[in-house]
Amino acid sequence: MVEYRIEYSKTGRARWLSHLELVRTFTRALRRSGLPLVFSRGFNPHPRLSYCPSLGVGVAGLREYLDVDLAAAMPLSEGRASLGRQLPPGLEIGCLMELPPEAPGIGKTVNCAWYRLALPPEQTVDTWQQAIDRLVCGSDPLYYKRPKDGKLFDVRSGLAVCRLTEVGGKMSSVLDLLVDFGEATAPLRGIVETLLPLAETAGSYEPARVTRMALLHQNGGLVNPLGERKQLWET
Amino acid sequence: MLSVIRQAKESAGAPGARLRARWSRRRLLEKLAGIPGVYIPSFYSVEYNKNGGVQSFTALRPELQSCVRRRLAPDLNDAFFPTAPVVPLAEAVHERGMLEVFRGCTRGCRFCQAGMIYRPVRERDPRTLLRQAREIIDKTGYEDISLVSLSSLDYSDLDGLLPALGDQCTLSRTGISLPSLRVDSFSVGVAQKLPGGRRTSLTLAPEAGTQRLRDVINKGVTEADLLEAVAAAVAAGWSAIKLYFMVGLPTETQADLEGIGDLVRKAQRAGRSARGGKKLRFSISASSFVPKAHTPFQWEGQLPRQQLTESHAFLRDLVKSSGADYHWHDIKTSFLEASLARGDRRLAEVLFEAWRRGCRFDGWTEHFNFDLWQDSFRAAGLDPEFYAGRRLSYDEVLPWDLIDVGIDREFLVREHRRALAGVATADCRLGSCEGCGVCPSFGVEPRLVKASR
Ligand code: SF4
Repeated sequence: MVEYRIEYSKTGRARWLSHLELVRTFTRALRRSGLPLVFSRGFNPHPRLSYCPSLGVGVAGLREYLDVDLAAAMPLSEGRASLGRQLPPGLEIGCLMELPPEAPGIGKTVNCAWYRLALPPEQTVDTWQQAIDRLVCGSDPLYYKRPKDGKLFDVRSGLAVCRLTEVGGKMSSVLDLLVDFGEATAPLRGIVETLLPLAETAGSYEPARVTRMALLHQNGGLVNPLGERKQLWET
Repeated sequence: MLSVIRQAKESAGAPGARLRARWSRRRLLEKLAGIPGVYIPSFYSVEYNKNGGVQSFTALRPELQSCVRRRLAPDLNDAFFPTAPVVPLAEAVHERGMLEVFRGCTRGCRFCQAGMIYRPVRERDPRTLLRQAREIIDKTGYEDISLVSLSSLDYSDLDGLLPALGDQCTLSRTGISLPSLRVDSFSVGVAQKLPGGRRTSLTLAPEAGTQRLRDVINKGVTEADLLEAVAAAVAAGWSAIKLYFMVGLPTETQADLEGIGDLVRKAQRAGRSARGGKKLRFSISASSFVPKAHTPFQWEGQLPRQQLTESHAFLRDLVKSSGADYHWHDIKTSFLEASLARGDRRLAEVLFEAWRRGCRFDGWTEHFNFDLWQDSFRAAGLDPEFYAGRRLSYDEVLPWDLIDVGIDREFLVREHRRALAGVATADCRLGSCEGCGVCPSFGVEPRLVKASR
């Protein structure tokens, strides 16, 4: 048995697929691709796949990952082509990597994500900068209450670092955020909904303005799931 | 408007390309009307009598036949079947590939429209089916494949088909499912052996509570069949059973409703003893009888809503007292269904009015607004009771007489009379033609892969 890690992007209309729909889409695409899948036992066998933490519906992902077990090794280019042919527009395979035996699964490989947010154009960069400063290092407590269960999050707790870049034009600026995965980390929606009023912006959270740029493991330095060392904000 | 009567591929292939040519609408309709199986409503007029029924039909062009005959594919082995359907990325209602094992069912349930209008039985060869199954698995990626014929386990060569199909599904771990099961232990046994058979809930449809009423509707199921099926289901590991019944069937009496209660209790007992004293979960689903066009019950009316409500309430109490769940199909929906099922073209106005009033997705209870439908009938000057509840006489012209599905009217009358007399009619696939008229009128024969068992 050989384990592979698939790097793919989820953009365009495919960004609107829920995690469940994404799983179904990949499962069926893999089944159609003819790759030698390995199945779980039991009454309802399913292929052994593992995904990275799910993307919110509407959020694009440029480097997402999926581990799959195959019964036999195969040339990477061939696997990439046969799966790629079966995926709908918006889901595209970046690369395929054979994992060494005993390698930790994707779930254990990532512990933070880099999100990029296109800020609404109503405000100047200075206003955004002030709002962000307050969001990151202000002294007043900032909490987000998750609507579905009322759970309270400290908005600052999982927010490792962020950077504002002026782009000009319609998008005005983009905000890069490095966010830890963790129980205590506020959902991205909560971070954005806290930030917008700080910049006196009336807009609301729009998932289509968000892109997950990368999934990383942070432990001293940054490493991506393919084992490559990365600088902060390096694509 | 254009309707192709049944098995479109048979008729549509040739002119398909030309539909896109620049013909005037009229010219196009004229050309289409020349193709057998194509019904152009505007080329026929309907005259009504003073009682509100249909008086006659008139073909408005000399070259047209007096009625439109359906088309039929005599051999399904070379008939088109879609093996690469669109696979939606979002969750769909039917998350599985469909394999049509045969078309047509001649068990002859007298309430069933599909069992009349798709006659005769035409089975596909196992070779064709295995090839189609392979294609469906390869091209859709579905995790399950469903054998979607009416009563699929009536297929004459199950022994030749199922093991090979099972083998073919092994590598891709594709499950095989059956949308419904015949009520007998054989079927349960077969279902158990299918790969991916989920051991949660098994559905069986005895339809009526007494042998008398089951003979009336020609549902060839006995109490013994049901009890054996329940025991077999327990042995096979199912822990819940769903039973389907119909309320308001022709000739139904209080005794038949009580019969449902009895049958449920007996089934519970059979289940319990098969499980060594442990209770088996039963849930009972009941719908209300809707008379359908082209069936022996087309002349019957639906019971008034008040009466149906009382019957369902009575049954609910009866069934619940023995510890089973009871669900019933919304009576207003069944009533609307009945008022459309035997309708004529004047109902087009009702549909349009309902659409204008915002009726959409009416099959979903949360979207169904009965008042809007009543308004729509009123606006069109029609009475839904007239369509749903009226008992028709044998000599009336029926609104669907314009469509010839190949079944003799005399056969339907005979079947209706036998129903009222409680006499069952055999399945013609077992050897003897029951004379429904389809085969001689199309020059075809039932097509069984293997001579009957
Ligand atoms: S004509 Fe006879 S054999 Fe053919 S479908 Fe009817 S009853 Fe069956």
